[in-house]
Amino acid sequence: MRLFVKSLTVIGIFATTPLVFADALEQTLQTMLQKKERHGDINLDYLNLNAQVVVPKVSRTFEIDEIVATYEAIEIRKKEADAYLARVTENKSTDYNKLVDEQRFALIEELLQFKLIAKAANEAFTEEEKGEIFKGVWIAQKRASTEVSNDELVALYEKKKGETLARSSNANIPTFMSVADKLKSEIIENKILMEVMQNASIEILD
Amino acid sequence: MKVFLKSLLLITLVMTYSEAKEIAKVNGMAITEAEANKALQVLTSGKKSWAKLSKKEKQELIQMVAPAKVIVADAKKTLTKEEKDVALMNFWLQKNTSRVSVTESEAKKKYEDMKKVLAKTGNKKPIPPFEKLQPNIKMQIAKERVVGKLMQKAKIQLSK
Repeated sequence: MRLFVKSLTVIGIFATTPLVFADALEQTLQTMLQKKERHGDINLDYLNLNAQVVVPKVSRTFEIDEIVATYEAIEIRKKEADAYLARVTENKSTDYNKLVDEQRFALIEELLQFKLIAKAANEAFTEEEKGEIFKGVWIAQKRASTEVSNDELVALYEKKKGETLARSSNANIPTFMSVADKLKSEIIENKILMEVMQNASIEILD
Repeated sequence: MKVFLKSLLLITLVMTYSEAKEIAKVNGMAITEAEANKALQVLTSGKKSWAKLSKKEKQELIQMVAPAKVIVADAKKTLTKEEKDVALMNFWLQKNTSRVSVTESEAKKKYEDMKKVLAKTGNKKPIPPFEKLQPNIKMQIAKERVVGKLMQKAKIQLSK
């Protein structure tokens, strides 16, 4: 699947039918790879010796630093195309030279799309806005990697329950399950905050 | 939790301000009086200003503003270039696709086209109803338009 579709998580349309809507590049590569895996049981019975052989058009091969495509001032070198190919095929295919022209064009078009969006995005935001965006990613990553045990959840629930009942003995206490997600979120945020500020030096000048 | 959320919200506000007077430093990064006042504007609905805060209140406020500054600095330092690029692209696409309006009939046409493609591949899985996919299809069309506009002048030249 196209990398930018995957990585940008723009849409979930294809979630139920990933193969059908995959781009041509992936399909040809998949077919190529699948064929390669099955080469041991080739059936030659249907071979028509008079058929016209269609050889995919393959341009010359390129050296690693050579420019494989250009668009206005953007130059795409083989190493970049290789890296992108490796990413979109999850390392199943890593050499631009092994692609036929049609695949090369599809790959370059997609890579260019990626570069153009990246360029537009980079120019669209101020440094402050970028900081905010990066902060969001940073927090999301921390949230995902911060673990909370059941004991921690129960302890916080009991603490809050005790505090609430101390204020009003008739208070309606929600069930643990109904607030577990909120409690988890709170614990994670506190952990992140503690981690961030653990070694921070704060100096008040005024 | 509230402190955390508030402190994160504050950075958005404080970053836009650049009044020079430094009132505190966190890991060497300056926090200005304007930033503090902007934060107080949110927290106290403008009832308090930095100058009127007690020493203890000043400390509390700086404790709230500081984490977001530290996080932004750490994010800039620790995220990979790829992560940063993807984050910016994601945001840029979201921002731009939200401005594109897509009609129901356009989405329906796309849905029917998708069904035809599926039929050709011999897909046996049931296809979700249009109503369920409509929001995503609209978003997909919007994204295609935004990217299409970006690519409309793209004339790629493969090296020979």
